[in-house]
Amino acid sequence: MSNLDWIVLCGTLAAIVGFGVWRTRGAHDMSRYLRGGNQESWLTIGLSVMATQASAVTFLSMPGQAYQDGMRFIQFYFGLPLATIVISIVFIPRYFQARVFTAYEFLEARFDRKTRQLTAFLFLLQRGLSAGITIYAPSIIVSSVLGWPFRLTCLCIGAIVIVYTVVGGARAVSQTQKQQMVIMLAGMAAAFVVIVWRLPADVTVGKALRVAGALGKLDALDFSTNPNTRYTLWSGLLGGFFLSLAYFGTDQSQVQRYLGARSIGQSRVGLLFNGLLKIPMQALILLVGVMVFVFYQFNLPPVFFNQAELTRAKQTVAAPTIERLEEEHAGTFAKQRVALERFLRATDATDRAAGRRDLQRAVERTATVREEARRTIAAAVPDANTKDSDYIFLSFVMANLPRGMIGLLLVVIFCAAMSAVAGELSALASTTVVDFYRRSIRPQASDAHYVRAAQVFTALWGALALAFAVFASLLDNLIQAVNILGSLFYGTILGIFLLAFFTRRLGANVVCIAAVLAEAIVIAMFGATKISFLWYNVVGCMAVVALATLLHRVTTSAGRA
Amino acid sequence: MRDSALEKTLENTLDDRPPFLTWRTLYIVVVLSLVVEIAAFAALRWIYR
Repeated sequence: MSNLDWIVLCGTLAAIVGFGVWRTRGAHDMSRYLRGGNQESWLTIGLSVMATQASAVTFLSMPGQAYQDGMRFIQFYFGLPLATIVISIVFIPRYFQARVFTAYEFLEARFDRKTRQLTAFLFLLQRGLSAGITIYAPSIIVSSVLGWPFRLTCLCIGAIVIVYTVVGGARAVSQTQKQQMVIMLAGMAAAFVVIVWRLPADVTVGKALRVAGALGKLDALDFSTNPNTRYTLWSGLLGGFFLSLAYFGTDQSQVQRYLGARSIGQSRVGLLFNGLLKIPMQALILLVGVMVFVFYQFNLPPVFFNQAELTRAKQTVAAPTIERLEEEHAGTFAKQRVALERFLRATDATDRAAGRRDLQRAVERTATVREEARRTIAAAVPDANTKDSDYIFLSFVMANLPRGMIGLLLVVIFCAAMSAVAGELSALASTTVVDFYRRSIRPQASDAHYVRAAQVFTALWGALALAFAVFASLLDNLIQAVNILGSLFYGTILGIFLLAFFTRRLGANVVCIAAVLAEAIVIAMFGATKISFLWYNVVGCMAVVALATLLHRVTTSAGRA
Repeated sequence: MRDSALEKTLENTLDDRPPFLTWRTLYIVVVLSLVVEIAAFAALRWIYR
C-alpha cells in the first residue's frame, strides 16, 4: 500500500470517528444514550438502518459471489421494500406509542415478563455471536490479502468501534453510520467507474454487459419453484419478506436505529427510504463483481484468488502440479480470449450465437482448470480455506486499482465493518440493560446509573465479540452455526410479535408453548431437509401463529367443558 | 394498545409526511419501484442474453 492509501485510510476513519464522538459528547440520560434523544432526521435514520445491515462481508463477498454466480443474489432483497411498508404501518406507531427503549419491552405490556425475556435472550444469543463474526470475517480476508497480522486487524476494527460506541451511545452510532454509508456508496460507485475505465479501450459498458450476459452473469431472476433452490423470485419475495419483517421489525439492532427518530413520520420515511434504495445499492455492488468478471475475461486472472493459500500449497509436494495447472490455465485462457474476440466481432445473429457457444465452452474449460487447482490445494493443505470467492474483489483492488483508490476501498470495508458492529454493540447493551438489568436486577436506580451500566455492557459485549473474532478461526463449525442461527430464530420471534400486535385474547403461556414448538419444527426442518433457509422464516412465523391459535381454542373449549 | 389511541398517534404525526405526498402515495411509490426494478432485471437479461 502506498503512503497516499494510508493517508486516505487513516485520515477518513479518524475524521468519521472524531466527528461522531464530538457531535455526541455528554449523553448522560438514558433517552439520549439508548435512543439518541429522539433527534434524528429521516435521512440519518435511513442511512443508519442501511449501514447497520451492510457489513464488510457485503462489500467483500458480494462482488465475488457475482463473479461466480452472477446477479441472482439480488432476489434475496425483493421482499425488503414490502416489509418496510408493513413495519411503517404496524410496528413503528406501536413502538413509539409505548415509548419503549427495546422492541422486547413491548412484549411485556402485551404478554408477560417471561415472553419478553425469552425473546430478548434469543436476540442476545444470536446477535452476540454474530457481532464476533462481523469483526472476524473481514479481518481474515483483509489480513490475508494485505499481509497484516490477523489479530491486530481484529483489534483495529473492534477497539475503534468500542471506544466511540461506549462514549456516544446510540447517537454516536447513527451519526457515524451516516458518514460511513455515504462513503460506502461513493466508494462503490467510484470502483464501478474505475473498473470500466480499466477495461480495454474498445470495450464499452454495452460490450462488457454483452460479454457478461452471454456468460449468464446477468441472469438475476430465477422463476424455479423448487424450494431447495436458495435464491428464486418466490423465495426472495415471500421468504425475503418474512426475513426482512423479522430483521427490521423485531431485531433490536435495527429497531434502535429508527426509535431514535424525532417523530413517527421521520422514522417511517427513513425506513421507506431504505426500502427504495436497498435494491439499487445491492445491484450496484453485484454489478461491480460482474464488471470484475468481465475485466478478467480480457486479463489473465490468478488460477486461485487466495494467494496466501496458493503460496502455502506451493511449499508442499504439490508445487509441480500447481505450476503445471498455472501453465494450463494460461493456455486455456489464451484460447478463451480468442473466442471472446470472435464473439465481440460477430455482426449477425448466427455468428453471434456460434461465438457465444464457443466462448461458453472456453470459459468452462478454464473453470475446470481452476477447479482442479482448488482440489489440488485442498489435498496439499488440508486446513486451507479453498473457497476463494471472498478474495476475488480485494485481490482485484490490490492488483489493479490506482493509488488512493485502494485506500478508499479499504475505508469502505472498514466503515462497513465498524458501522455493523457499532449497531450490534449498542443494541446488545440496550437489551441487556433494559430487558434484564433494569427489569430484574436493579429496578430503582437513577438514569445516570443505567447510562453507566449501558456503557459497561457495551464495552463487555465489545470485548466478547473481539475475543470471539480472535479465536473464531479455531471454531470453524461454530462459525457456520452462527451464520444460520439468525434464520432459525427470526420466524419464531416474528410470530410472537405478530400475535402481540394483532390478537387480544391469546395468553402468554399459550404463545410461549407455541413458540417452543414452532422452534422445534424449524430446527427439525433444518436438520432433515435441504429447503432454502429463507423459507425457515415463513414456516417459523406461520407455525407460531397457527399453534398459538390452536392451543388457545383447545384450552378455551376445555375450560368451558 | 387501543385502536383509538393508535389512530390518535397517527393523526398527530401525519404532518411529518413529505408535504407533497400522502402516506398511501409513498407506499405505492415503494411497491412500484420494486415492480420497476424486477422488470429492469428481466429486461437486462433479455437485452444482453
